[in-house]
Order: sequence, then structure tokens, then C-alpha cells
Amino acid sequence: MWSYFANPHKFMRLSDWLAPLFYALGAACIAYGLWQGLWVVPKDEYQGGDIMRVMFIHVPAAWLAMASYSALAVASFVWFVWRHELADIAAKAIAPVGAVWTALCLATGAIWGKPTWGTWWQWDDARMMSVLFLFFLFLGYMALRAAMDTRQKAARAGAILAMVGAINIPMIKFSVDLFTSLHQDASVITADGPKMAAVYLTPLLISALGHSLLLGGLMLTSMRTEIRERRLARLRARELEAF
Amino acid sequence: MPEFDKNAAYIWACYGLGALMIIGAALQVMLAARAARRKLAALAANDTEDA
Repeated sequence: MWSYFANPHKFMRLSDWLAPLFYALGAACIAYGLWQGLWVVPKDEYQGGDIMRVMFIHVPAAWLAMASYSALAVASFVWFVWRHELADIAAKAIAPVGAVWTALCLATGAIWGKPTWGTWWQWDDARMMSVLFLFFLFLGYMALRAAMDTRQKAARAGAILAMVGAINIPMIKFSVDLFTSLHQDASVITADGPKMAAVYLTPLLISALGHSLLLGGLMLTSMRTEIRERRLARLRARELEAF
Repeated sequence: MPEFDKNAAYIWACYGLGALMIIGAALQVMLAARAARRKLAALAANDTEDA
């Protein structure tokens, strides 16, 4: 299966129609989430009134920050073990979009925190710090790759960092259970099932699906760009050799 | 436009920032894709001329 999907030609054919489909479905789901979040769902006095509407953007951003880093670590592992170039291309493509969604999670979390907890940020809060560390992992991954002089070295160094950094993902998830945190406990992904009312949960899940599809589409487009860049580099090298 | 309680500014700031960051990321990805496509097409055209 890996070998089938590792073929860049097959990937280009598949992603040619898959990426636009992801964009269209993602935009529709996000639009539905926006409409529900801003116009339809009633405010929840228990959650601080209207400010809980931030949930429809903050929570998908938080999930995708973790999911995109997990995908980065898995792609890195696949490259590290099987040396499939497409896995390295995927890892390189995930990092910048993952960093954007992590930054969005941090920013919207800070904005939500001010009226709810009375502070934008708390330096000794495990949840906040572990997500900030995740953001730095994304930046570090990109900086490390950029600092290497060959593609192989960049892929190897990046893969090691991505795999080691994956330890931060369970730290983020369980930080609110293991440490004292201003952040509320998990209310969707829990052992006993979601604790959230369906009126909030359904639009939240659809919004999260929209963000996932959009991020997936951007990742596919970035992978296509990277494949073209590598093809371009090969053609230029061949021209130089011929010259 | 929907009307919110005293925290309206925070809500709009979150949604505005979200739109800005996501549209910015999408634009960056699309522009990079277009540039790569054009460079590859230009190189292929040069190769055809040389041949």
C-alpha cells in the first residue's frame, strides 16, 4: 500500500481532483460552522455567555494543531523507516500549515482567556505552555530543515526532531488532568463520551471537519508544489550537466 | 449582524484573526503553487525551443 501511494505520478493524478474537492467541502463545512457559531446556537451562561462562541474556531484549531503534528511525526517515521520520498514531501508540507493552526489556537485561546480567566496568558500553565512548545516544534522543524545543505540531511534531521517531539502530543492532551490548569477539562474526547450538548457538539464537529479538509487541501497543494520544485531542480541540474 | 453581550469585541477578534490567518496561509500556498507551475512550464518551453 505504501508503495502505491509513494509514487509521485499517482499522487499528482490523485491530488489533482482531491485537493479542490477538499477545498470545496472544507469551505462549506466552515461556512456552516460560522453560521451556527455566530447566528444560530444559543449562548451558554454556564460557559460565560456569548464568549463560548469562540469555541467553534478555537477547538478545531487546537485539534488540528495536535493532529497535524501527529501527521508530521507519522510521515517522518515512514520516511525514516522506508525512505519513501513522498513521506518526506508530506512532512515538509504539513509543518507550515500546522504552525498556522497552532498559532491560531494560541491566539484564540489567549483572547478567550482574557474575559474568562482575567488573563491573556499564564506562564506556569501546563496546557498553554505545552501548546506553545508545539508551536516552537513546528518552527524548529522548518528552521532545522532550512539550515541543512542537502535534502537528505534536511529530511533526516527533521524526521528525528519530529519523532522525538511527538512526546509533546500526549502531554498536551493530558496536561489538564495531570497538572493544575486554568484550562477546562476535556468535554468532547473523554472516556465517558462527549459531555457537551448536541446543539453545540454537532456544529463544532462539522466546523472541525471543515478545518481538517481545508488543512488537508492546503497540504496536498503544498506537496504538489514541492514535487514540482524537486522536478525543476532535477531538470536544472541535468541542463547544467549537459552544458 | 448578530448581537452579542459585553464580550462581542473578543468574539469578533477571534473570528477576524481566524479568517486572516487561514486566508493568509491559503494565499501563500496558492501563490507558491502557481510560481512552481509557471517555472516548470517555462523550463519545459525552453527545452522545446532548444530541441
